[in-house]
Amino acid sequence: MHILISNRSDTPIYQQIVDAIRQDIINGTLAEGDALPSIRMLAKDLSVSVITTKKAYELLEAQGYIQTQPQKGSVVSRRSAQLAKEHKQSAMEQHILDAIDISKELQLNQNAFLELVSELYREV
Amino acid sequence: MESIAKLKNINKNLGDFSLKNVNLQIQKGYITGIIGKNGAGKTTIIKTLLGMLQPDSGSVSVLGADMAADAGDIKNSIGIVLGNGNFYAGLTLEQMKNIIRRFYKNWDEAAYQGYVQKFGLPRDRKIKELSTGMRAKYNISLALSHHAELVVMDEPSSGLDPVAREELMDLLSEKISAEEFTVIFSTHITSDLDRTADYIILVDNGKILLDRPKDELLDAHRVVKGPVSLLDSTLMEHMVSHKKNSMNFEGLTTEAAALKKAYPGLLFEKPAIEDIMRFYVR
Repeated sequence: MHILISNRSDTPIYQQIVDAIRQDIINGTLAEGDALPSIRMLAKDLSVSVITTKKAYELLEAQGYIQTQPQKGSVVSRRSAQLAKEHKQSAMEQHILDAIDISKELQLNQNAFLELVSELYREV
Repeated sequence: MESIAKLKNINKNLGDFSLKNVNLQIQKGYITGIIGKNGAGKTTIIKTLLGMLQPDSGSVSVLGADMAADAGDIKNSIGIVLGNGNFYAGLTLEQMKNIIRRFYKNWDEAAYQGYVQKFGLPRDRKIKELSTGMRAKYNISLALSHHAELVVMDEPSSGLDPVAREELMDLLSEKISAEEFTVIFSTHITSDLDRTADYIILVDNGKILLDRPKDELLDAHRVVKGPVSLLDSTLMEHMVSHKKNSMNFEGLTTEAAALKKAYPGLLFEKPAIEDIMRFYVR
């Protein structure tokens, strides 16, 4: 598990932690059943407040990525990989929608837009 | 949420200064920072909390006990760091410690020796010969060596250099990660609290101005900067306060998203606790 926090970023710190853990789930660094550090341990290691890590874990739990049991702590849930993928997918769809909006502002028709996408796809 | 200390409707008149209807609840297991200018009332609040100052009206309870009634037993569970400490300056560190340890049922000599090592305290030096920084470290070592559930520190970091201040914050953060432990910490050096504090209480002129989780407070505010030509009455109404010079203005807002849309050309930055304090206390 790897988390790097920026105190200067506009993104709230709890959100940075959520994003980092989700990324670790997507790329397989964290897998189903893996134990996460306790909220107090993580707060100490990241030099952030306990409330921050608590909020991050609560969000991850509400979104289904982790499960927390009293005494035992938090583990990565069975559905986490699927959820993380879906999250990434919907982020991608949002970017495509934004691109379509811009293409309309530029009065590009659908074919021209798709052609541009294919062309760029080949280049990457 | 469980509170470990509570001030209810506290009033205290000290002549030219007074606490005005102070209500506080300190959450158990967290670090709470009390900030404010010199003379804002931080020390008065802490002394009231510790039963060292009797309020004119209102009630104080700490660790479930009424401080006016049975403070004696409770003090075993509290670690205190106050100003320069109440020491006999002619004694050595070792001699003074041997007096203090007798007041505490749960004195932990090994823990104390650990801090002496960690901070490089000169055991056989007289207290009056210590530098301000060493004295602060000695104070802190004594407060942390009797298994207190609650540690109350009034300006513990004021004599410390930035490296030692960071060490202190890391130490507190390590302690609350390992055990059930609560810290109340007053400071006018707000940068101590930027990273690890959980709650921030801003005191000004004997009143509580703000009392919120630190992250929530910082996430809710933005410092806004721009040329004075953009500074109109609407913009001023949407800032907590602002200051300006002949070229630019700078303010604090809770409505960054709306202002971003209405006034392109403004610059927004995430605040530090210091920014919150300087714009609220004006």
